[in-house]
Amino acid sequence: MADIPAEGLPPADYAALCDFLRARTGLSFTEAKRYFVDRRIAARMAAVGVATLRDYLNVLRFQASGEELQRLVNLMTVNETYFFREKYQLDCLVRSVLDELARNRRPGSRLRIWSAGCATGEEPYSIAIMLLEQWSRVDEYEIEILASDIDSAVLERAREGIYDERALQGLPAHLRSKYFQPVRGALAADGARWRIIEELRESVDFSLVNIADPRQVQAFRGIDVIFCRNLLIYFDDLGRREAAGMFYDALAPNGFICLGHSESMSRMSSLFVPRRFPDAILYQKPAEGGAS
Amino acid sequence: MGLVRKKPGTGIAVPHVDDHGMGASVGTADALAGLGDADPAVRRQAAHALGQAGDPGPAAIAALAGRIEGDGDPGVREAVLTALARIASPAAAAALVPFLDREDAALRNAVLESLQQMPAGVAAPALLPLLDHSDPDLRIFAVQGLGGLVHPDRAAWLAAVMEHDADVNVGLAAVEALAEAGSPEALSSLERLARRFPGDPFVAFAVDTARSSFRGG
Ligand SMILES: C[S@@+](CC[C@H](N)C(=O)[O-])C[C@H]1O[C@@H](n2cnc3c(N)ncnc32)[C@H](O)[C@@H]1O
Repeated sequence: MADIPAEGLPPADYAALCDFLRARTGLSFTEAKRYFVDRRIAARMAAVGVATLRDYLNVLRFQASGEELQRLVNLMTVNETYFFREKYQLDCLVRSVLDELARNRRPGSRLRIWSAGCATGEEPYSIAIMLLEQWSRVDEYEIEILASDIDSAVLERAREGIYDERALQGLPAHLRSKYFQPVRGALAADGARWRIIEELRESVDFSLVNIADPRQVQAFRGIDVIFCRNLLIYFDDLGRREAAGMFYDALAPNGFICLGHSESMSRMSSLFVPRRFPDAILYQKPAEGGAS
Repeated sequence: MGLVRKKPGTGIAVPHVDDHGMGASVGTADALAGLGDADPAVRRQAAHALGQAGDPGPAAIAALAGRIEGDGDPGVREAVLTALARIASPAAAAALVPFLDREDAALRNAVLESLQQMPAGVAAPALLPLLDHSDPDLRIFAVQGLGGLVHPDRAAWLAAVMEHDADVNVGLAAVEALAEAGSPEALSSLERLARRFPGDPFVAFAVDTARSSFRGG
């Protein structure tokens, strides 16, 4: 059995673990999160069969497959999300932002939207639905929707696209019947479920990406709009600032970032200019030079 | 047209990294070379890597500091500042301090923010000597920097400024910093400041405001 005393990891061990997680994932756990962390670590140490945290950290560091680190990360993330969450931001996208971006773009050219921290997929699928339903020029452009997360388990579910009532609550009934099909059989055994239609599943490009790793974020360039909502709340100040810097690189000039409702870029980075639209405030990368 | 459908083999190509994207970073030597690359994204990444390397040593810190004004790309400057804040060694803090006297307000603010994002035990020793600087503007930045730190001596530093600094604006900056965090133990220093500058309406106003905010809170 894992050798964790009932009161949890000793403070020094806890700190070492949190440092490690912060450096690898950006996720910042303080003493206040002990109830969350201790239990999960104890379970993983028991499953792996190591007795001390030091041994466990060595598994995380040196295991060639990276499997255990991925498994732990999957346990440490909070994946809460639902369709049409913070809908006013999606309204802002289809009523203001895309029109502005399209103004300088020839019809037929590409627009790229990235949902960074997409969890089980509700966010990128909501974006897809809003575009199809409410952006009149959707057929004039090639729109690429990218979505990523650090958690491999939620990505699998996102690709599968099966949702329960709770996730779909915010979605008007006519959209549910248009874009979803009821799931029958074993998958629906413990409550009703709906699967998002294939056309939409094929319209979102899901990938496993850690936004705290610049080598991975490097794959994202020339993005027009980044949605990074309710993710940076789990980072510390400096981590948020670093993430803002990576998004800066990923965005095309004049590209936008949309953050969660409680998050503000002005507290993270001076690289962006706040833009007030009728529905929401977004942050824009200036065309040239800094925001100051 | 419309939404682009994925086809097998297309789509985003996330580079494979041996450590599965949650890894230790590139070596310090490579990163140092990268700081001079022509591509700003490479310079950014190099700065980031140096920031994750623990203490990358004096050469790296000097190279990072050299980019703060030497790089035309605002993204690189920001990456360098966050890297130094992440390294958070006494040398990294000392490397930031000289930029506090620059004309460029955005740069000064970003530098001050970076110092504040270091542990207070590292940032304070770098900022405290500035309280004795002959330029009152620099003393104000020091007050603002120190005022933002979570440190047991914070109220005492600010109280000393209110009691002794010859420049009224430096004293006012200290009042502001105190009021923000609400440190009622400094009330007597506030009164001292009011007595030292009896004719100054701003002082009277600021001291009154601070006083009532302590009472209220
Ligand atoms: C609370 S969910 C938010 C989902 C959605 N954006 C929303 O607002 O509803 C946060 C997601 O961020 C992901 N996440 C956390 N750290 C991450 C990182 N370093 N890189 C990528 N995704 C991360 C988590 O796995 C989780 O799925």
